[in-house]
Amino acid sequence: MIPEPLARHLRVVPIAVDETTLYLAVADVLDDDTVAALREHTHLELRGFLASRNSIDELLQRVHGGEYVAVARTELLTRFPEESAARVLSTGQAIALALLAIAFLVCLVLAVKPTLIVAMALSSVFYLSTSLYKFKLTYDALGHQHEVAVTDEEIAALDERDLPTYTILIPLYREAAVVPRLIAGIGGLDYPKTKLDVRLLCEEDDDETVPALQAMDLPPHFKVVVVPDAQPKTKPKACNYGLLQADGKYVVIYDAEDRPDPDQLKKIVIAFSKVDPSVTCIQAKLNYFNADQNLLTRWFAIEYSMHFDLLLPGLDAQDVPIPLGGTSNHFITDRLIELGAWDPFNVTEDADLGIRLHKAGYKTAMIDSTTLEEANSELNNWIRQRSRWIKGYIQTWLVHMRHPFKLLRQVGLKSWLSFQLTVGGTFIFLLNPIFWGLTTLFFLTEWGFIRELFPSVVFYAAAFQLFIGNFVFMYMNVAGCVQRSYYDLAKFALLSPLYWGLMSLAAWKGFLQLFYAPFYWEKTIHGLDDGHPGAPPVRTAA
Amino acid sequence: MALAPPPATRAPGPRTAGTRLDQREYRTDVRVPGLRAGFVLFAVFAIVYFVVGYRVTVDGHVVVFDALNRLTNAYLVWWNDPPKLAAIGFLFPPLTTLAFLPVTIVKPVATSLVALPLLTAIAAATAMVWLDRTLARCEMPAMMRLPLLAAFGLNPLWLFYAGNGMSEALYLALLAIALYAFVSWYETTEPRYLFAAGFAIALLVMTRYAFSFWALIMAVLIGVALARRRAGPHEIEGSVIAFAAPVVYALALWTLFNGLIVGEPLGWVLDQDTSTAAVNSNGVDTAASVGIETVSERLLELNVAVFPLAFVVVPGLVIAFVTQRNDMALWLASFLVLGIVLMGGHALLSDDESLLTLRDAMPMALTALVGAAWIYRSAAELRLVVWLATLALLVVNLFTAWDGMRNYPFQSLEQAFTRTVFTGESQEGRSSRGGFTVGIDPEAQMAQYVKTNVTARRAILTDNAQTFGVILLTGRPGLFFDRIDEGDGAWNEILEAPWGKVRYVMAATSERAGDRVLARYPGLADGSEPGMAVVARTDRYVLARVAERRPQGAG
Repeated sequence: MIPEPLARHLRVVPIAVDETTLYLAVADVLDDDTVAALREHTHLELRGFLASRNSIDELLQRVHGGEYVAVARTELLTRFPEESAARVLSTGQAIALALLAIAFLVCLVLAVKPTLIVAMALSSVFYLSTSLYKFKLTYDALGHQHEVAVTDEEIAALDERDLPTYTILIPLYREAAVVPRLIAGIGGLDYPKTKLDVRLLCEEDDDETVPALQAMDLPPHFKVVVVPDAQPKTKPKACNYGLLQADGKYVVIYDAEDRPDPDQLKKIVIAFSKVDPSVTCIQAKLNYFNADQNLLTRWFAIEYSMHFDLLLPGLDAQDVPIPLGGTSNHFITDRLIELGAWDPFNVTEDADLGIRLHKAGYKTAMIDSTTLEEANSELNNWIRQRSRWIKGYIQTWLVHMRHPFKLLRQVGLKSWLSFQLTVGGTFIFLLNPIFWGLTTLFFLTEWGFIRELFPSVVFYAAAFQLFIGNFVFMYMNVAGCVQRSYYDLAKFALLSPLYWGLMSLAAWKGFLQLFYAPFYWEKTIHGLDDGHPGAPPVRTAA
Repeated sequence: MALAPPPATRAPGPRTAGTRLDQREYRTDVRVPGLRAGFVLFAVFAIVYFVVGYRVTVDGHVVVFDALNRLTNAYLVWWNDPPKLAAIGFLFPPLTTLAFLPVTIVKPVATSLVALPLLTAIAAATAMVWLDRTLARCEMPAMMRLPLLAAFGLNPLWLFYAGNGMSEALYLALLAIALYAFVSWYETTEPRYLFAAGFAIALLVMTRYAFSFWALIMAVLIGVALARRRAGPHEIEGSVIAFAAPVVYALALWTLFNGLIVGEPLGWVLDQDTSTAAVNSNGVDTAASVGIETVSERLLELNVAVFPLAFVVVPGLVIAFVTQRNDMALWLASFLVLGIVLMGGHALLSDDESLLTLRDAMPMALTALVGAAWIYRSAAELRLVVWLATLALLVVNLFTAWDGMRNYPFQSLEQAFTRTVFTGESQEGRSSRGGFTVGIDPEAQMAQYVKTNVTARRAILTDNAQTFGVILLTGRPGLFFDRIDEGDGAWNEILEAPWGKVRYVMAATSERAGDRVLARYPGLADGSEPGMAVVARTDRYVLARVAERRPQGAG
C-alpha cells in the first residue's frame, strides 16, 4: 500500500488496515508533509502509533528485508552494469585475452627466444614504470602536507548543536569477542551521541554476534541491523544494506576493531566545509595499534605508514584517482547513494569506489587523522586477507578496463596512466617470483638461456630494477616510518624484501582464486592481538 | 585537487618531526632559491664551464687520461660488441663511469671527447646551484651570495675540473648536495633532508671510496647530536638507519659485484693503485721516504693553494661551537680537519707523497665555503665582516690556486691548463708538472690507422686497460678483442696463443704502463718479437701483425 522507498524515507510502517483507516507505526507525529506524501497512495484515514526510531527501522527491515537485500545486491548492477564486478570479464575482455593467449602461444612455438625476450622486455618496462611512478609519488609527499589541515582551534570553535548527524557503518561477522571493545571505541569518539547513527551490520546466519548484541544494553545511538542471508556474502553488500536506512549527512565505515582518533568525525565535518565542493570522500590514515606484536605486524605497520603517509597523499597531490582504504573513508551520504554505493561483488569495494568517484568527476581528499586497526599477526590469516586484497585490485582493474578508451576519455591521460601504475601495478606481485626465480637460477647455474632472455637494454632495465629499484622501495618504507616518527620500525623496514615475498605468495593465491571463486570473501579473523596492550609504534612528538 | 584557501591558523611550512637540534628557532621566512633562479644559475655556470672545458680539453688536447679511461668504459657499455655493463670496470669507483652513460649513447659526442667537458660542466654547475642554496639556507641574501659564488666558481682549479671529465666535479656536486641536506636537516629536523643526505653520501662513496669515512663520521655525529638533545633511543636508531642505509647498501652491493664478477669482493678496498695515468706518464720526483714533516709541508702547500679559506674558517667554527653550543659548527670543522688528516694519513701509510695532489684537496675548499656560510649564519652581529673576509680569501685563492697549478709538483695537467688559458695554444706533446706528456695525438694517429686498415671483427688483441684511448677514438670497439669481451680468462688464452686467432696485437709501449700484451711479448716494443711484424707505431703504441702459425722461437 505504501511503497517501500516512501515508507523508508518517512519512517512509517503500515501495521493494520480496515475499511476506513490505515494504521501506521511512525517514528514521529504525522505532520502535513508526511500526510501529503501518504495521500498520494491512499485515501484512507491515517492513524499513527508512535514508536522509537530503532523499532521502526527494525520493523521496516523485517517487512522489507527481501527488497532491501535485493537493492543492496543489485543497485549498482542495475544502474551501472558496466561498473559492477558481477562478471569477472566482459565479453570483449574475454575475447581479447583469448586472442592474446593464442597469439602468444603461436609466437612461442614459432620463435621461442624472441617471444620470451619481448615478454621479458615488456614486463621489465612495466615493472620499472610502476616503481618510478611510486617513487615519484612518495618523494612528492615527503616534507609536504597535502592532507587537509584542521587545527585544534577550529575543532574547539565548533558548536556541537550545529553538527550534522553522522552515520557509522560497522560490518560484523562472528566477532562477538570484539564487541565490547568496539562499543568502548565508538564511545570514545568526541561527537554528540545524539548526532550519531551507529549501525552494527550483522549477517543473518551469525549466531554468535547477533545474540551477543541483543543481550547487551546498547545505547540508543547503536542500531543492530541484521542483513538477510544472500549471496554474495560480502562486506560491501552489508554496508549497502545498512546505508539504506542511514540518517547521517556523512557516512563512514569502521571495522570492528578500529580505534579512530577521538576527534576524527569533527575534523571531517570541518574539512568538508573547507575543501573544494567536488570532494565527496575524505580518507583518514590507517595504521595499527599492535604493530610491535611480532615481525608480521611490524611489516604491516611499515607498509601502511608508507601507503597512507606518503603514497596516497602523493596521489592526492597529483589529482588522480585514489584507491580508498578499507575503513575510515568518510562520504557525503547523498553522493554515495548517487554513485550506487559499494559494489557487493568486488572484494576490495573501497578501491573500486575510489576509482568510480573519480570517474564521476568527484574528488577524494586525505586528512591527517589516524584510525588504528588490528594488524594481522598470524601468517595464514594475513595471507588470506592479502590474497583478497590482491584479488580485489585485479577485479577493480578488470572492471574499469572493460572500455579502456572510454576510461581514457573520462579521466584523462594522467589519471588513466596513474590507474594503470597503481591499481594495475598489482600485477608486479605476480611478476616478482618469476624475476627472482630467474635471477636465482642464473646465479646458481649461469645458464646461457637466461642470459639470452635479457639482451642489453632489457638487461639494464631489469638490473636497475633489481638492484636499485628494490632498494629504493625498501628505503621508502624506512622513510614512511621516519616520516610518521615510528623510528623503532625503521630497522624492520630493512627486511622488506622478505615481506614482499609473502605478498607475492598471497598475490598468486588471490589471482588463482579469481578464476574459481571470484566473489568469495576471505574473512579476516580479528581479536588475535591476544590482549595486546594496544600501544601503537613509538611516535616522537614533533 | 583544489582546496579552499587555508585558514590563518594553519601551521606554516612543511611538516617537521624529530628532536630539535638547532638552538635557534627555525625561521620559516628564509627563502631558498626556487627552480627558476636555480636554473638560471645553472645555465650560466654550465655554459662557462663547457666553453672553457671545450677549449682546453678538446682544442688544447689537455686530456686527463683517467677521465679518458672512464669515458671509454662508458662508451663500451653501449657500443662494445656485445654491449656489456661489466665494461664499467672495477678499477675506479663506478659512479663517474655510470654518469658518462647518457652522453655516450651518441657516438660522436664520445669519440670527439666533447663528452668530457659536457658531463663535468653539468656536474660543476649543479654544485654551484646547491652551494647557492646552502648559502641562502644560512640566511645570506642574493647580493652577497653572487660575488662569493663567482669567486669560488671561477677559481682556476675549479674551472679546470669543471671541464675535463674527471670525477672531481661529480663528487663535489654530490658533496654540495649532501652538505646542503645535512645543514637543512640540522635546522629543520625534517626527515626528507636526512634521506637526501644519506643518498647523496651513498653516491659520493661510489665516486670516491674515502668518503666512507665521512659517512661514518656523519652517522656518529647524528647519533651523538640527538643523544645530546635527549632524543629517545628509537629516534636515534631510526635516524641513523635512515641516513646510513643507502651508504651501507651501496658498499654492500659494490662488494657483491666485485665478488661475483672479479672474484675479489674487497678488491676495491685493497687495490687503489691506478695504472691508467702511466700511459702518458713520464714519472715525477718524489721523496724516497715520506715522513710526517714532508707530509705536513705538502699539506700546508695544498692548504694555501687550494683552500686558504680554511685558515680562518676552522677557528671560526670552533669558536662558534664553544660559544653557542653549535653542533653544526663542530661538524663542519671536523669534516675539514678529517679531510686533511685522511689525505696526510694516506700518504704516510703508502709512503708516497705523490698522493698529495691538488685535486684531492678540493673537497676541503667546498666544505670551507659552507663552513664560512655557517659562521655567517651563527655570528649575527659580524655578518658583514665574515662576508668580506670570505670574499677576500676567495679572491686571494684565485691567485694561490693559479700559482699552485703552475708549480705544485703533484697534479694532473693543471700546469698545462694554465698554459692553455694563458697562451690559447694547444699543449699537444708538451710536458706538464706531475710527470705527464700532454696530448692525444699518439692515440688519434693509431686510431686513424686502425680505422683505415682494419675491418674484421675482433681482429686486434689488446689490453684495453692501457689502450682505451685508441679504442675510443676509433669509435669501433668491435674491432678489438679486449678483456671485457669475454673476460680475462678467454683473453689470456688468446694472449698465450694468438696465432691464427687474431690478426693483430696492439700494446702501449711505455714501460710504466704495465700493458699485459707488452709484458707477454716484450719484443713488441722494438719490433723484435717473432711472429709479430710491426705495421704501425706512434709515440705510445705499437700495432703488429700476428702470424697465422706459431713461429719458431716465439714466446
